[in-house]
Amino acid sequence: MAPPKGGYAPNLDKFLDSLKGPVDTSVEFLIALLKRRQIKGSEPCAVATARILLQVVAKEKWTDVDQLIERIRVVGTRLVAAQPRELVIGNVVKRVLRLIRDEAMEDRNEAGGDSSPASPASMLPTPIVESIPDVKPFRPPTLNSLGSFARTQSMFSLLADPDVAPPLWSNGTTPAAASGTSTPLSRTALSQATNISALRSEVIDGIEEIMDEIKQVDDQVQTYADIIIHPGNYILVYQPSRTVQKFLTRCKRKFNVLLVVDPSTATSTEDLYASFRKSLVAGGSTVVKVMNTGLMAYMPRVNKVILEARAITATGEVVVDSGAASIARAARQQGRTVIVVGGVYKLSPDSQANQTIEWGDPSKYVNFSDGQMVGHVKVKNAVSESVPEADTYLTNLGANSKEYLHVIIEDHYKEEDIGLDLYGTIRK
Amino acid sequence: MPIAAIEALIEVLGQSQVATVAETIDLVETQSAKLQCAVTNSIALSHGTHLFRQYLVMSLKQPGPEGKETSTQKNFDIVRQHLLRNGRLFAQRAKNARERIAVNGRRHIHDGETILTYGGSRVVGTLLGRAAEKHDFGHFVDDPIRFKVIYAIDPALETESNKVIAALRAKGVPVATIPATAVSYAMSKVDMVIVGADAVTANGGIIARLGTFQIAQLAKENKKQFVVAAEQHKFGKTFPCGQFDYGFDQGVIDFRAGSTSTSYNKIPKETLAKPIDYTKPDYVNMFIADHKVLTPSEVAKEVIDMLL
Repeated sequence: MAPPKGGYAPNLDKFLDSLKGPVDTSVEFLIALLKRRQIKGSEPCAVATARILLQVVAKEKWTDVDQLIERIRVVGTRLVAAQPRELVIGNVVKRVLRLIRDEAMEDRNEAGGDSSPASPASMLPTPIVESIPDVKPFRPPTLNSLGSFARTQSMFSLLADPDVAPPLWSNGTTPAAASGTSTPLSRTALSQATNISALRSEVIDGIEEIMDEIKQVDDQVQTYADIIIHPGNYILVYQPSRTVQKFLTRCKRKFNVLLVVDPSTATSTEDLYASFRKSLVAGGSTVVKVMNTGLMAYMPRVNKVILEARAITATGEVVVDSGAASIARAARQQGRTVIVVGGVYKLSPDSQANQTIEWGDPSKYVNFSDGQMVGHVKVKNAVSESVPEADTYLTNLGANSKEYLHVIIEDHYKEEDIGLDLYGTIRK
Repeated sequence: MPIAAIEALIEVLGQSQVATVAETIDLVETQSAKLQCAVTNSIALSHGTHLFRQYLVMSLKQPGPEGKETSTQKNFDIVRQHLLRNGRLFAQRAKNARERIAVNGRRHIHDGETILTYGGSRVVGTLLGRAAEKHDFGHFVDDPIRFKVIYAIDPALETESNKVIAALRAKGVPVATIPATAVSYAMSKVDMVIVGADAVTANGGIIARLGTFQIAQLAKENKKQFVVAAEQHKFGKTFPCGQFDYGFDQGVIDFRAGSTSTSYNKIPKETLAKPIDYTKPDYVNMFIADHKVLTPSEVAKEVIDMLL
């Protein structure tokens, strides 16, 4: 998963170095890197997106929240357009947008409290939200405090009183709100310079927290290893990523690992997983290497299949590395548990993974010097695939079922941001 | 139907002289029961009346609209005034809901896809029609989506279906009509099934025109997306345990015996004008509602939240 070391091709590290320059240059550079797939994989993409948005918030001039949100939307939409298959980019942008909205709303509540109250129409927060003004600074409000209360209201939006404060849910998913032209924020005391600098630092802190969260996913997910893996289990993993490797090595029990490797990658290098094997064997576990073709013979013995998610959608579809989908299918066919591992930042509020299958470079399978083949055969190589559903979704917040994913999504995203990247092309 | 029921209840509320909360709730309940008795299929209707009742209970429980604690009596007057004043608005909102569904649904339809639909749902008609149009949001331009529609026709719903089909064809959407019996045959050409619903049940299933359940099963068998477009006010607490658990008899199954046609045509059993069936949540992949796109389990949560 880590970007290849050496060479002169730009990668994530180069991009992070470039952040010292002007913001616009960095944005363009990142877009180019994403388009050329020189930053790839969900974690590097998420980190890069968070870093660039941090720069936008910190360095650019903006005088009110509307401007900032609009700016983030424009940058975010372009990043998403540069690599539409990587859902985490959109996720991070939406998380940041939510963060800004939350901070802005909180500021307004405070302002409304001690200054002369603004006219009811311009007060976005409903009474329900006002009654809990001390939502923790950088955490999305928990379901108990805001989520469920707001949801309860949602069913009544049909009958809500239009003369009272506009309800929370009314600004979501309408064309106007989705296009970002009339975000009904600010225009109140917020435009004061003091508030802006406070808001800026709060948003920056928030984005840094998101980055920390991305960084800590591995460690947090690891803690569930002993719950998931039981002594003597046969665990099947496919080309384990760093997260999955750490997850398995953390487990203090003796168990068996079936390490499935795609033959095309196995031949190219000596052993990608040497250290991983070594640490597992040191712990008393057994590691069996399985070539992809022999997989089905082992399936009846397998207790759990652990796969790393590239992204998870709202409906429970999982985007995985190519090859993993057939393993998941084989496992489900035989009634084996499929566990998907991935940070919450990979959980996307969108519900359409069938658009995320990415086709990539087939040179691994067909040599370019083979003129006959190149000239007459169209070779397609899937980089990522989609699994319709898994049994357990293991995130840094714990193990969840498919039915519970929407609650996590509600806690991390705002409805008005969900449609961000899907509204056509930007007019420039 | 739910909206008509709500309007009727508001009308009653305006005519009556009730002065207390308990009286109002009582009035709403008796009138709802009366409405439900008047029609055979009262499921959609009951969702409307129930939503109205819950709204009353809910808004009377909460602090007043200004965020201050008001006395219940004052609160009651405010809510009553609001309902009487805005009766028209609710119908308008319900109509707008269709447009919002079209906006939410648009991004789930892609170029080159073939969509199968069934019945005469205006929601689906609007959704497909808007998807075929160009939208200009200022910052964003949405080009028309080029998709095809396979329209399964049931003779009983032909007039409604034809309206939708004509509108779609006028917008340049290629529409093929097939009899409902050919759905299974056509399914392999289909990318997604979109249907409307009469009512959405508490577990995230749907009650829709007879035949929808079959199509849902065929879609699942063929691993095609089965999507329901329904407004939020259709959600309700109905929880059928099966096809014969609606609380009324549809008269769809009518056993006869006899050798001549006259002998079994004597007492024809009365069939419901618009028979329905129930599709379990297991068959539904996604709901496109006016406020967001949901999974069946999310629908269930919203309904439970309303009941609390």
